[in-house]
Amino acid sequence: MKPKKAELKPDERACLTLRGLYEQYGYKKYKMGKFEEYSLYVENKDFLGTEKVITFTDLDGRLLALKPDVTLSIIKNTNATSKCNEKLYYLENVYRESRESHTFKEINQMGLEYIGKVDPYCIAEVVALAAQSLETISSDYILELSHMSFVVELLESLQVAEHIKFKLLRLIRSKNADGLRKTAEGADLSELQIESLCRLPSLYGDMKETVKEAKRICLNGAMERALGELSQTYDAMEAMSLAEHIQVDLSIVNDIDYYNGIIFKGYVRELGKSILAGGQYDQAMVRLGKKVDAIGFALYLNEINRIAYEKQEYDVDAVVLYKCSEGVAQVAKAVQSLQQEGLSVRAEKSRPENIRYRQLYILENGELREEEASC
Amino acid sequence: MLNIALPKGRLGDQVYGMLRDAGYDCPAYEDKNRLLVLESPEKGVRYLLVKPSDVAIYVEHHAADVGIVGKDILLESGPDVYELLDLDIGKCRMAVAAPKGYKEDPDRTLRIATKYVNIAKKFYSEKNRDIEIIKLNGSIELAPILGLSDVIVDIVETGGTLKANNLEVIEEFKNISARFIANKSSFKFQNQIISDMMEKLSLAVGREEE
Repeated sequence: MKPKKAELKPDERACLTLRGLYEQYGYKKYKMGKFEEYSLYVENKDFLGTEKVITFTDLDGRLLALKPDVTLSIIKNTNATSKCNEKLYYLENVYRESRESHTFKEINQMGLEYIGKVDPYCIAEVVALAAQSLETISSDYILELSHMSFVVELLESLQVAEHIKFKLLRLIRSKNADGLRKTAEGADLSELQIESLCRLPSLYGDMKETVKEAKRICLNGAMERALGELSQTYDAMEAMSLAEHIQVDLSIVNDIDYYNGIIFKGYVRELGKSILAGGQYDQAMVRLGKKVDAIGFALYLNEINRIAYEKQEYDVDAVVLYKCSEGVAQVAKAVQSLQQEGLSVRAEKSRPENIRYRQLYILENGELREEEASC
Repeated sequence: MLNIALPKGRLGDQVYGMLRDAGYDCPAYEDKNRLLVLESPEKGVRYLLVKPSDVAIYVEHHAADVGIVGKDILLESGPDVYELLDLDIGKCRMAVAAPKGYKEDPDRTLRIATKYVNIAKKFYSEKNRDIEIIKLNGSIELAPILGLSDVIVDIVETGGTLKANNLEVIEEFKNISARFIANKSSFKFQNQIISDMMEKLSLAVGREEE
């Protein structure tokens, strides 16, 4: 009997391929509980970027939440040490606010975390896996790298008030050069500092050229070191022949209290939003009282199904119409005989209105007769 | 083909003028028919005419690659897009206005009528003032006249409408102008085209200032 393969949606297909890919690098799947102590999210709401979490009181009176994020739970529960790394990936549903509809929505998330001692090889491995993950989703993808220290050290050196710093961060993220200039001029910064800030939004594109450009606006050693690390990672990508789709964009900045080091975002041409985001988050480990480094990323599988894919023309290959007078064995045999040819079959008593079928068969006195082609 | 979301109306016409002069002309736009999608294949652009407050939504959700939108709308909805250029047209101010001679009573909850709920909330939360917001969709000036609210928060261009309705500006707190925005993904995959357009527009902005 020819088995019929189930038709997979893009996210399901990606999921299967990616599990193989991650396991090839020795990452283990980690299955988590759906609930988490609410307090974890209250204490780390900046990491989530939202305070909106679905909460409920458990039967023992504890306040719990439906997970809005997986990484925090992984950090909280990790046993990794600097000598004993943890490599894991997960596939979970998380619950977040949908800004458009003002309701909660379920997001299917796949992610990978490396916890322990993070060295340049680990960074290269995780970035390479991020690039390969994007490649399984679309051949036309871009993975953009950045380094937290570059922008953070630049802002530190300006010695501006906290609220101005956050305003500048927001302007950098939206590549708003006009806004940066106005805010910087208002904050009484030097000519050189203003120039450095206003150049930031245009520091993106090809890695080698951008790093060369970025060197010109370096105000201190830490910024130069950040560029050095970026180049090192890029060289590793070249060695793995993944460099073609890797770019740099120094205006990418994650939350400064949680992330440090290399960060990245992935885009595919078909979709308007980034579908992959990640980076090194040693700061987050420190905040949660862990003395190890960590790097990882998450992939938003929901978005992927918006990519147009070849949809099936028919819901089912064949419909077999039978009358009550027909014996059960006869009907079962007729269905089986068609299935043996690798077709999907539905036995119905009347012509089904709600499904599309390729072929209609009529069963009469044990005889299978082909009726008409398609509907 | 680059999809450009233009706000319908006066601002859209003004922006189209800038784009036309920058080499992105589209004869169909000038025909003044009721089409909402206007193509200019030889220039590689497609104009989408949308309600001004929807421009950012089209761009954020990738239905348009770039768009032109007022800063007031960006402030109100905070979309996740790149704000690439201040076009320096459609200029006005976000302001609080009230009937002439109005004196605020700090001991009472302030009632505010506005289209811009989030902007008003943010402005008054920075002042730590207890407020009640009444969302209206138009003719905001009517609210304080009828006693619906104490003040209004709205954009003010010349102040003509305010004056005609016996209102005056109490405080201006944000300068508004039209911005050139881009979808984050489009900006990466169509970078050459979008950067070119941005460059040409910024030259046009410079010329107008002179």
